[in-house]
Amino acid sequence: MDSPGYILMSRLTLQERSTQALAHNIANADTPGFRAMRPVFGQVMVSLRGAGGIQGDSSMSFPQDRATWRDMSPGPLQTTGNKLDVAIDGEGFFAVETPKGERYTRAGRFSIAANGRLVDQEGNAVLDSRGRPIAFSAQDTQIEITKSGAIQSENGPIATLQLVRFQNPQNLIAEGNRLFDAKSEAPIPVERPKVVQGALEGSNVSPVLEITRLTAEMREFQYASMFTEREGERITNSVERIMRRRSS
Amino acid sequence: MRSLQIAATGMQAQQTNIEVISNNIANISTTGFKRRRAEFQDLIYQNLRRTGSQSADTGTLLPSGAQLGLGVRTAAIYRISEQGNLQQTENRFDIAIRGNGYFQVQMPSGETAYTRDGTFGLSAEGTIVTAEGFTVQPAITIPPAARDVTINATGEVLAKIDGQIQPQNVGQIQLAIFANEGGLEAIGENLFLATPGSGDAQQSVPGAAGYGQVLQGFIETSNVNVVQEITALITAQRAYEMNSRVISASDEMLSTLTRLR
Repeated sequence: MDSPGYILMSRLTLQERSTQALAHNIANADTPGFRAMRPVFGQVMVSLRGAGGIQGDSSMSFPQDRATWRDMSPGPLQTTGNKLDVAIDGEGFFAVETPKGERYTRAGRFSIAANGRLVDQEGNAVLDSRGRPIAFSAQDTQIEITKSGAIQSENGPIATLQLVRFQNPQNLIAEGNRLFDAKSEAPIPVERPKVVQGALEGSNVSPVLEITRLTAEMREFQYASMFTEREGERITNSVERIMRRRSS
Repeated sequence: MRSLQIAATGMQAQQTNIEVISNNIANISTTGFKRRRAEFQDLIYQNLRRTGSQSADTGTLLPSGAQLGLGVRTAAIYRISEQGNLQQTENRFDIAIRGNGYFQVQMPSGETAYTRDGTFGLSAEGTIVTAEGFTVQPAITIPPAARDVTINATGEVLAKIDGQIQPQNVGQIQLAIFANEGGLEAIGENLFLATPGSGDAQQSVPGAAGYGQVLQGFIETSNVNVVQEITALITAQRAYEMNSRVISASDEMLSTLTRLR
């Protein structure tokens, strides 16, 4: 009897998920290389009465939180003037070597570690096109990164940044710290890499969109909870009516 | 309601951002000051459904998983080592660096600190010292009889001494450069210390390949750009507001829930 109540309950649960994803996007509106996340809701069909019954109104569906989807559109490029800031113009990821294995990132805020290696914010070595860490000698002071990702100094060429893409970037798993784990997905080298030295890619979160969604979500939540309330009243009323008829 | 905590991390991050911006604006007329930028990164994620997990016995794989992020955190506050403007002071011992490099300063503790603030003066012994009285390395002593002092682009200090036709070369200023300037540790008073992150200092004379030139009678102003800072301040404030909107929206949703009958 109480199916509408359960359907609404699943709706309210999902709404909370959705708000959480939204809060995460807004909190990361200023994180370089961040990709906005969106929840994907699907429906689970549940057949009510015998399948052979009257067609059309014999089933109902529950919403289900099926997946999260990552908005892969590029973020705006911000010039920083830092020689070791590299932004990717177009598709691709930088590869870095972490203690857990190779990870991928769009945030090209690199620096040089004490051992001369090019590292990311967490100290993970950035890999070159041959999958090796990039090392500078103490004499390299004028570091230039060309559009194609080749790194050179006044002492000649050093290495080329590795830029990879994925058949299905949705399969990447975000790990935090702006890193992605490729898991089963095989990295494919980008044929024509394009990078910009002295710039950083911003977050692709659009504040207008997020705030609009937030308002819409809040109202939907209120709508669904009001519906729940009315549904409760309806059940109470019907129970009361039945009881009254019994007693009379 | 995890969205409450997530938005709180966002507000905290923006708070840090505003603190960094206010420090930049406060130091707008500090000689040789380099502006800072706060930078953020996403926190850990919760995997509700992992991608690639099997959805049925027949081996069908989930095309995409469900991941929920838990907010943001401050990754770094880094310095932007852009050249500041040069301002003429006409002071003989004000020296600005055009290009790469730092002056080396001997601290009372014996350590070497690095600075781009070239407002120097003379000690009682005639040695070139910083505004705090720390000796600039290598120590250069101006003879008391010197009538005028010229410092050329390559840092040679030439003293004009009465009775001598040729100016006397009393020393040469040296500059230090680093593989990663961003790794220097600021200790206040416009001074920096080398760290494992910055790499070791390499010294050479001004004007050598990779080193800047020096300019007598000028100081380098801070590289804080008011327009940029105010724009960043507005952005940070709006971002803060947006995060607080999420908090109030989540709060409203919670109160709707508690009002349910």
